[in-house]
Amino acid sequence: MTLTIKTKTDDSFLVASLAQKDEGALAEIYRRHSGQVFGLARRLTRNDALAEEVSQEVFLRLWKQPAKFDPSRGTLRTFLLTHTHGRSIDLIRSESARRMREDKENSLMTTTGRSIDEHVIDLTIAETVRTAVSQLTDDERRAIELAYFDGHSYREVAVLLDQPEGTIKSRIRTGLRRLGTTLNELA
Amino acid sequence: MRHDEIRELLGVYALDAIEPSESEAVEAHLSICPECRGEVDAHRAAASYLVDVSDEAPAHLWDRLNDGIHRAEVVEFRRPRSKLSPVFAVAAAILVLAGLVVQTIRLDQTKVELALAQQTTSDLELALAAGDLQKAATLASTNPAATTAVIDGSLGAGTVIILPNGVGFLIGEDLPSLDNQHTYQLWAIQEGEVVSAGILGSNPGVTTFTIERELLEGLVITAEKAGGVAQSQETVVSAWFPET
Repeated sequence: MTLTIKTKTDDSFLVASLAQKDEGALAEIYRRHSGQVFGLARRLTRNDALAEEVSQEVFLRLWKQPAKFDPSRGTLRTFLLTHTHGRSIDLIRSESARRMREDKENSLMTTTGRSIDEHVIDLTIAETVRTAVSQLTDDERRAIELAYFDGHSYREVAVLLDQPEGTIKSRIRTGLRRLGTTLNELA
Repeated sequence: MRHDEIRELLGVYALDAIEPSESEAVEAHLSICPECRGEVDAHRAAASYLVDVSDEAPAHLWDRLNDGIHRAEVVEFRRPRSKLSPVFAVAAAILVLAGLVVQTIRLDQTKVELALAQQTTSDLELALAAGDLQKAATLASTNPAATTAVIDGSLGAGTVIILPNGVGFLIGEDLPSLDNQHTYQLWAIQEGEVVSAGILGSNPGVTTFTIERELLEGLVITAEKAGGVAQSQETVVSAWFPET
């Protein structure tokens, strides 16, 4: 028997199967995306317990409300990570979680404080994303990093980088547009 | 807030970096402006590529999630797919070469009225919803489009019933009991990929599982430590490979 690994089933088909409470479909979705969901939640919350809480919420929400995913607006991966990011931000902006996060901050920064380009190491897409990230200016990259991975509001980013708020808004928007355009071109 | 002012905020909105006081105005605008909605979607897609794809969730997180979706229901969980281990691959190949007794029985569709089949499907769904797997399996076996087979091996046999939609039942009552430190685990082979299709327990009764029927190349059972494993290193105790 020749054994090869294939993942032919489309994410949209799997989500549609969730409407029939197909646990196998959820397991496959989890297998495909849980690492990134958990990784992003942990990167933001800097706390494994909070990251698990966020991850569970994200997948449970999909399980209960699969119709919330609209494939015309993007991939399931983007959908899950968007909710992971939003929920993580909600948590880290709550006072109790902020304390937990700050307690962990120093130790985490010594172990997982990586820059954006160190975050994209999957061999199949790393080169493409690295190329796209390399098209950003340092100012754009830093602003996006502080907002997306450190969970700062643009006003906080402005203070941290000692720049006008309008400049930070513009850098983030311009950087994301360039990133998206480059990824599309390379894809 | 003007359209151009809203547009300036779309990047920070997409990254959840907007101030709460501004968020409401942006969301109200997005509900009526497909162009800006598209830009936010594109920003989010771009940002998602920055996430480290090499991260792995802790092993117990799936169990936690499974608990959340199952509560106290009796249906056993299915773990995520895992690659076929070398030991498992060899064992499966040996079983094929040994020419296991395979019995596939396809019920004659012409003998069953369509109305009866529809009623059976409805009853089956009700039985599943009620957690009555024995009744559900019995009803499934009467579906003319179901595949019924014996999954056989060194320790004992079980009966497998697979419906066209991929919902399956394993009746494992003939498998000998294991001690409480071990469990039987069912695996589906689909295009060379191994999927854990269910934890059967140490004294299997009736279990339901879901597979992609059109991709199914075989079902195998292993004996594992209690709780099951994501990737088996054990030899196969029972197997079924559909006739091609």
